Amino acid sequence: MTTAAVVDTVAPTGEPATAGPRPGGLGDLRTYNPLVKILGPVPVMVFLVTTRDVLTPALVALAAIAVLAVMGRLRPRVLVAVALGALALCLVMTFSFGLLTDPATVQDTTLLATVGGFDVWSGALATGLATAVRTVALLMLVLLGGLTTSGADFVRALTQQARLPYRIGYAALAALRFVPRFSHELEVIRGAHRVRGVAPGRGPFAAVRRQAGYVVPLLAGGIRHAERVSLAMDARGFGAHPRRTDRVTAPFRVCDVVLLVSFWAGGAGCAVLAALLR
Amino acid sequence: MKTLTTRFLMTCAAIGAAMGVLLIPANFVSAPLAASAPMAYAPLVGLWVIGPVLALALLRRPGAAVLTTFVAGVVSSASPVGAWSIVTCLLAGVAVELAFLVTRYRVWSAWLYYVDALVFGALYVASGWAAFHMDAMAPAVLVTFVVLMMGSFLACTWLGRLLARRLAKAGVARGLVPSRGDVAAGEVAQDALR
Amino acid sequence: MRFAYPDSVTPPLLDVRSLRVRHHLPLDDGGHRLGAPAPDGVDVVVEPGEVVLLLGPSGCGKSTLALAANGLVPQVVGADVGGSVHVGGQDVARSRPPLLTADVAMVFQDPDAQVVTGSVLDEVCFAPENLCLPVADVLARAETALRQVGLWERREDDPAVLSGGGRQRLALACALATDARLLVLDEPTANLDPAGVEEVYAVLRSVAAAGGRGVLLVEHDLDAAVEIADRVVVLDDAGHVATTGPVREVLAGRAELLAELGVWLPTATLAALRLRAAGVAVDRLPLTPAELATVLAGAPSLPAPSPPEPHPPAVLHRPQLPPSAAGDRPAPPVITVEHLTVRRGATTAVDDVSLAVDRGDFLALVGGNGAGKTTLAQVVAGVLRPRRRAVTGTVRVAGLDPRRADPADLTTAVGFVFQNPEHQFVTGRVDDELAHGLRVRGVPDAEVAARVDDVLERFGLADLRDRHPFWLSGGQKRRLSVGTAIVCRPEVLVLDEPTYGQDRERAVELLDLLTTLHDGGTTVVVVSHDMQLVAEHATRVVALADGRVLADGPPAVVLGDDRVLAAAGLRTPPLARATRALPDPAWRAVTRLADLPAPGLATVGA
Repeated sequence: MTTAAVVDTVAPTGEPATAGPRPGGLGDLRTYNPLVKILGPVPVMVFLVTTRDVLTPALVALAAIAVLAVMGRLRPRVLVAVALGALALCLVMTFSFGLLTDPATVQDTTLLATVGGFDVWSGALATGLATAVRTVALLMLVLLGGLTTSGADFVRALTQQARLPYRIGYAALAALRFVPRFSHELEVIRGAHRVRGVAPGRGPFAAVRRQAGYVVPLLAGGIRHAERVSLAMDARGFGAHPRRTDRVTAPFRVCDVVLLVSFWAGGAGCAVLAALLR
Repeated sequence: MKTLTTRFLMTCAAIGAAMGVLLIPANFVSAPLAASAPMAYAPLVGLWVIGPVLALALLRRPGAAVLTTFVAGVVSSASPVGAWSIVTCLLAGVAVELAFLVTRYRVWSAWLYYVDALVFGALYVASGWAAFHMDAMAPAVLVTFVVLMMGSFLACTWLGRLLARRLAKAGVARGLVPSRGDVAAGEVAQDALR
Repeated sequence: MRFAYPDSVTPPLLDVRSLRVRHHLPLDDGGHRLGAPAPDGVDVVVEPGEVVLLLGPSGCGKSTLALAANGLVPQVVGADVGGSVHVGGQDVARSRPPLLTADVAMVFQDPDAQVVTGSVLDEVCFAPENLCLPVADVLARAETALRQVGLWERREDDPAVLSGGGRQRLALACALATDARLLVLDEPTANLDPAGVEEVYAVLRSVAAAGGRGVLLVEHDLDAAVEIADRVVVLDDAGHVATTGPVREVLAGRAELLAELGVWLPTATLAALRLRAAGVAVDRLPLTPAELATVLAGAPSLPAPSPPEPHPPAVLHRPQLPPSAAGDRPAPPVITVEHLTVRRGATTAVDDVSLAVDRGDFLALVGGNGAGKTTLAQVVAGVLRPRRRAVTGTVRVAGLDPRRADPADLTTAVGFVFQNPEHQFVTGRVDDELAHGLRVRGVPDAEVAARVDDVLERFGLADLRDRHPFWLSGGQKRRLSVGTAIVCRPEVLVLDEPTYGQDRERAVELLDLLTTLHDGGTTVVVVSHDMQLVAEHATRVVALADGRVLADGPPAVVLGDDRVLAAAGLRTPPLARATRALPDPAWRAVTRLADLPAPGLATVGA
């Protein structure tokens, strides 16, 4: 058999992991720098936590959903799920937090109903609604970056712009390879424990004991594997120099600065608008 | 940089990957759960400290907690919150690491882990105070909520330490634990040669 | 210590002088003690264009020496080191392993443990990127390396979808992309199936033929390695150099010495030694099947091979079966598989397989990676219990349905030995590990103790009874894993790739153990792709491909059929390759060393 004749029999599947050219352009949130998308909204979040009204977080939440809808390039199904999820979350939370509210503080408001021994006060619902809308707004700001940025992209940006040592970033990226290995190992360990009669029986207690028995062998196998991988990495020049060549770059451009400023301006705008409307 | 060997990095990465896998479903349920049934969410918060506590207790090296949670964040970013989980995880890692940094990595006794858990728990409750508008809650609800959260942190700290002991007994990561100023390696590493 | 080289002479690619390594073995208190020195005072030199093969029994320090070539020992794997190692004139002790990447490239045993990134191209670029080469150079090197190993077309793929051989070729490409002139390969084919071994050696041949680079090869599969090696360095148990020299001079000229040391020889050489002892004149010991064929063809006359026994001796030791009512009716098979189909995800792992295994059989399930042999074995042993809709057909083992049986009952019917012994350890002590299966079944304590002691004694584990199973050596772990399965005295013992990742010595030790059990009446089922092993020990071979049974019969028949082997992704065992062209049909059937004329039986010059 010659080298040229060496051909693999496994059909090519899976997606190439190399980050390709970025589609979209300025209207595509995915093309922006991950650091801006993830960390940019943080000041707005801190501000949100301090608010107590309903209007400000509601405006922020609406703005965030609008940005996601226009620039997120999400699949329609995901977008609908996000919007409906936000609405449902709002409803559920209004009641659940309304129930948790101290009745003593809302005695002066209207008693709307009594559900299973619990009194539902309008004041309690108002407090619950405020908490709910605030939480939803926070969640939307998280999703703004979260739905448009992969962990790997964020790590790349951290090493290229935030001066994170590349060895730490790459250790994390290499760890992504451990995940499918874990699930395969888990299957084998589960089979092994079953045939050896570890924690047999039915019911939740036996199940918990069984699951607990998998943890140590799984971790031990994972760490041993990681040590072997580390030898291979050292042998391939990992950490030879303080920097390494970046084939894929996560640039920090003017438009990223614009996005960052618009996050803050948007937050401030919502606050001002809420104050005006009140 | 010298103590940050690739072997140490990758060991933390393995622990972090396991923690990340655990956190993916936690990321999915925690937000809706926090919203709909805060009482059910409270016991979950400890999940975020198992990894860093385990890594520190097993490896006894500076940075183990932060590295582990960073990796856990990257791995668990396969959920709707995406890369945000890195930030969340890192917060837990930094919190666990701080107690050991403050004592300059000279104290490894059990009490420090638990004090750390209590302090971090208190800080976490305080941060949740504003977000969840907890000063409006009924006193009984409030007490239950706080007790559940603190209990969760303590229980998960205990669990992390237990797992670390079990792993050490199985000879895992021996030779990475610093002893008398040198870094010994041994049978585990020799296993790596096989 | 620094060696001064005359300016006009280029230093060798690798120059190891009086290397002595004592590993740090950690103690419970956090300190460490020193292991026995291995290697001990070893000199090895690799010149450009040369392939040096490093041999020795396990524990002699071969892998340690390989890891010392770029300083991983002692800089990452702690050890006390004496002597010196220079690569291309540079003192390794004065550098760091990553900095030496441009001079030494390494390929390790486990292809999975060398994958860092998510695509073939990223993987090959990893080392040049770490060396801070410009992007254009990184890509140029990656393309050259990937083309050399035949993976350029698959550069976009996730390494995980490559076959084992494909991933190991990828590891080779990564090594080539460093442009290092010295390649160090530590058991590069130990985890591969025969097709994978062939792929890797095809690449290694082209690397060796291109010249310029030097290779230090640690390998136990001599049948593959002798063809590319130029020189051999043999270490003994104590880690000293036992002998060294050109490959033919050492392997053929000092074959008896090597055999004494416990170093495995090429099958062709072993066969010739046996023939010589039987009185056949063999002037020049052969190293490859082709050379052995020449020797056999050139011999003036060959004695008749040992008549293949109608059945192995195991038949004589079969346990007394209860007399059946029908008198002479044959005993029912101990394993019956009928029209078994198992789906795993989107793929059909086992496809309509029917099989009956008789009591006392030594059955080998063979096939390439992904043929479904492990799935079949795991379903038979009850390890895998697929969901009802993922499986059709029936399986019975010793009267039980392994998919539904209670584990306590199942352990006396069938024992399963996992590829990785660590997977099946569930306790923290060696003796608890053995007692576990008995306790689950509610065996009285006194009997548990007696049976555990018996197995500890028989398997040479008595001194280690209070150790944690994870702390045992590789060979001890393997023995313990077999022990945990047989302590319950199962009627059937199923082993998944029992020799995977093990050196020859441990493989032989394990197979002797299995032969003893088989002689004692246990039915043995082995999943394996080690063809010579299968040829030597099995009484029956079932070849699988794509989940279907391709062939079923005695080893001599199945392993002699090239079309079947090729379709199953397997290769003819070395001895069969040498004998197939012989005119005598009795000789053509020879596939096992045991079939060769036994010493003392043949008349000299007959």
